[in-house]
Amino acid sequence: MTNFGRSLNFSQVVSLSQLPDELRAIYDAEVGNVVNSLRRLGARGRDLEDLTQEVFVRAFQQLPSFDRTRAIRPWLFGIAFRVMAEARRHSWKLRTAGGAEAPEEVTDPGATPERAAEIAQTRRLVLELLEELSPERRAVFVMYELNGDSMTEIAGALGIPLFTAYSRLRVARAQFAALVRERDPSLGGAGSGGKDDSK
Amino acid sequence: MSDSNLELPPLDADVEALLRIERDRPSVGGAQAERMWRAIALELGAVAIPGAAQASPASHLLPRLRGRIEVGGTGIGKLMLLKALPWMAVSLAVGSIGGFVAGHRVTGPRASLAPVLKQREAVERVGPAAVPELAPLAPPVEPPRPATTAPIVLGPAAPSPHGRRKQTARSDDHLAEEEALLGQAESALRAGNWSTALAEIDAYDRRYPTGELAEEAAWLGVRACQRGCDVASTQSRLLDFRRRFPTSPLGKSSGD
Repeated sequence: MTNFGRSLNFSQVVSLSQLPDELRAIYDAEVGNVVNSLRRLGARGRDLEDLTQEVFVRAFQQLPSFDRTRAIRPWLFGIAFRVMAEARRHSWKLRTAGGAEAPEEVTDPGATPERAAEIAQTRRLVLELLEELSPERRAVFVMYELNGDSMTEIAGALGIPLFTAYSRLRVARAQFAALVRERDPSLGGAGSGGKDDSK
Repeated sequence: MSDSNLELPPLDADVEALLRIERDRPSVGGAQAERMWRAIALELGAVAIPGAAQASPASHLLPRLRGRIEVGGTGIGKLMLLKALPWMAVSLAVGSIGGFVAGHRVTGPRASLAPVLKQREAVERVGPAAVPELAPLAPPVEPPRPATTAPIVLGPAAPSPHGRRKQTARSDDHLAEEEALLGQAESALRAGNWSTALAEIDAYDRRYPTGELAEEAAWLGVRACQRGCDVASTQSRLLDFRRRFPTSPLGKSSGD
């Protein structure tokens, strides 16, 4: 479990059952998205579990000041992005090997072993390609293309102007399509970056 | 992907198919989710949730926890002092230094992480037994899944990636420079320096007439001109923008 400089205070220890039901409900609903978002942002192995816990700890601490009219999922992504950025700034050696306690990748139920392997290979490839994007572009790309957030939500969650979010997405899309083409020139053809042909 | 502000062109079908498979990635398993929840709960208990009750039914455990940690620390200190004594007997000078170092290690400030881990281990040891009323784990929530698609399995990398990588790296440098230039222009515009912003945009246009962000640059020019240019100049920039980028979603957004 990550610490980030906090210290424990035994006078504040509460039992698990004292945590408000709302927190548990939020956790149950969002833990999968947070884990997948962190994975797409570059967390692997045991770090994935540690960082997921850190995201929820921060989120629950900040919950009283959270604007309830906003969607919670992009807000959690914003926290996840900052947690990842902090982890990188602290020069963590983000582990790539899956540790014993790393969240398991649940396979799709009903898929044949061959198909499951193909799906897993494709997902690994997407994560590899995402690694090539800068953290800022990657965050916008993941939010829009994979998590389905709107540009307004993305700008709000990442604390950037809408214009900047849009620019980053355009560049990230073009770069991602180029990376796909680089892997296999027959894929990722024209039109993927939304570049205007009239120029 | 829909957006209330901007409509973006669809991705290439192959790229979209790749992303769709990643989008359908399942959630974490129940055991992992429960383990993480327990760790979060412990962490939250330790850092206090705003608005959460401070008086705890588990408070009767605190003396026990404190006692364990206190006794453990004292025991280690005694042991280290005993180990230091023979050295002090052999040589007063060396022994003094050793004693000082050992003493400092015993009585000096603890490393920040050690007590945290020790306390956490103690809480973990007594936690589940002390909390029999722990709510059962809810089943993991999985997002609704669209119809599955055949996965795309890519072949090996392109035969001559070296040259291509060089090209990509160069393109990345250009993009970074373009972003930096436009970032300066945007900052100037936000600060109210529309003329500086226009100068930055003109510099961008001279340097990257067909750049990746030419569309954004042109629209930023329109916005900058709206702040301070005369009407004719603004209209001229706007018409030029629409002529060059007739399908651009920029300019159709209310929030931009």
